[in-house]
Amino acid sequence: MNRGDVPLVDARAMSRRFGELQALDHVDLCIRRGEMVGYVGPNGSGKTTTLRAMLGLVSLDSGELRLFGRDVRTGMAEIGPRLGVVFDQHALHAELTVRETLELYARLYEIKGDRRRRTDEVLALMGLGERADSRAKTLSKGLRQRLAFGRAIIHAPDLLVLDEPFDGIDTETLRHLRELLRRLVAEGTSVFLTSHDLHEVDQLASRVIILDRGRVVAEGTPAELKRGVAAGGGVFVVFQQAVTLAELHDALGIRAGEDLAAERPHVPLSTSRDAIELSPGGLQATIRLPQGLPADKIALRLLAAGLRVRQFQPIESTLEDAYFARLHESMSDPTAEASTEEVQ
Amino acid sequence: MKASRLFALIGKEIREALRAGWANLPATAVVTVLLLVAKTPHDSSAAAALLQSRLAIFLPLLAMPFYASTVLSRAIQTERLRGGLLPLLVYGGSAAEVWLAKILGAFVLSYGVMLLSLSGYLGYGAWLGREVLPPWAAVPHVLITMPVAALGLIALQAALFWMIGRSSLLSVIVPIVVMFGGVQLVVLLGLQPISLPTAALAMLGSLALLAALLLAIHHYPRDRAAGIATG
Repeated sequence: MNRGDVPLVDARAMSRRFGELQALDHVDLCIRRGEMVGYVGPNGSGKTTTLRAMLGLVSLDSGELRLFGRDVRTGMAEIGPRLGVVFDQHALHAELTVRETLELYARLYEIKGDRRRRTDEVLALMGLGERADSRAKTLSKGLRQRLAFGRAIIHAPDLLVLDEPFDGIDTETLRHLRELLRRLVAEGTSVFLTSHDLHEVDQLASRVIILDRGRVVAEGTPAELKRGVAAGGGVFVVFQQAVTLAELHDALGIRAGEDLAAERPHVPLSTSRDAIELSPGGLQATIRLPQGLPADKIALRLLAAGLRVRQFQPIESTLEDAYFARLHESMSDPTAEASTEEVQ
Repeated sequence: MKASRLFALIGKEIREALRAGWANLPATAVVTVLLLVAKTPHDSSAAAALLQSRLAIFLPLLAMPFYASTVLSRAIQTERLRGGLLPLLVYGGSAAEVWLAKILGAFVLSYGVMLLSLSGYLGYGAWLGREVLPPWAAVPHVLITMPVAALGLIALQAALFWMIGRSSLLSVIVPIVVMFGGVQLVVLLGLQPISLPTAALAMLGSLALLAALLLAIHHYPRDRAAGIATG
């Protein structure tokens, strides 16, 4: 096995309990070179505990966690210099200037060669050149996040660990950071990204792991996760004449208690009448599709019922749809321990 | 533990402490002189004169831990609460390296405060026309023995911050206890003679305390240094 085959992060059955709360419950995690892994879940699901365990800041009750082939418990001296971390709330040194912060970490990471030049490069890369002599405490939230990113990449780490990096930052910074991450990944850096911003995760991550109550409930590429939720997610329909909800229910055969996606004539589409959202004027409707039912069946049924359709547009399901579907499944799982407490 | 990284961290601590509250230096010097003056008998008896001259020897034990407590409170507790401690614990160095830098940063600054306080105390004596100068033989104690002993007291505070984790209350209590406890200690010690073995023992004890703390931090999981709640 050559170095490229060794996972950068290899975790097996990680478990950690804080009092009554099972923060991590047999979590497996593998990150390979050049991957950007999105790690998502509700508050208290164990994201931060996982991240802190990877950084050696939280010890595990059981399981194994290796970074770059080394055990986190004993190998942080070798692991640390290959890691770049962006903590939530920036975690900056308030009284140091932007340049001093970068120079400090250039020295701590023992960057070889001209540290001053490397600092200037990162200042330029992060768009912080004009604020190089400003103290961290005087920076706006967006600039602080740029500085936190600059500090994390100053030593060109193999793995970037990002904790809620897009939380509350301005659009310009968001765009800048998104492009930076794409470039770093293209250059071979791996990224482990925890976030509540599912839109960003959908755009950036090559693989997504959904965590709930300390357990991995789904894992796959964004496309795979979305595919598993619903065929097309739903359709958006504009009618030529106003329709009523009752007409739509009749047309689609919705009757409570019947099967969702059976392939019979006049098959009920959903047991839930919430599957249809009709605009107040009755001219527009959003119809959520049950799993496995193609959107064109909806169109056929509407036309067969004599409803005149002006526009018919399938709605793509999003990572958010997939996320909530998986969480819903997880919530229905009686074997999972119920707890939504925040893990700090 | 690497010297280049340690110096970088000490520089960071000194820079941040000065910027966050440079006025604390002269303020501590003034408070130290006022506390000693308030505790010193104001008569002109020989016993009082002796005590006044001996207090200068022990002044580092009051000024240094008191000023260091304010520095450590910001450098450890405030930095923990704001998250600034976390990146210092993951760059690959030992948590003990980070703690040592904080202790030495506080020590260097508090040594400066001690010199300011000493100048103030001697100036006060000269202004009143009293002989508060310590004997020449005691000067090494003022400049070396007592500051090294004070280092142990600074390490003790750092140990307290390390053990207790996140606590805003601690940041308030420690300086108060050090200030009022320190002045009692200094006046008490001012009545005692200093022998060479006592001085050596004080310095060795201080350094042993520092070493023990660093060993504990190095071997204990980083949760403790980070101040992360462990349930």
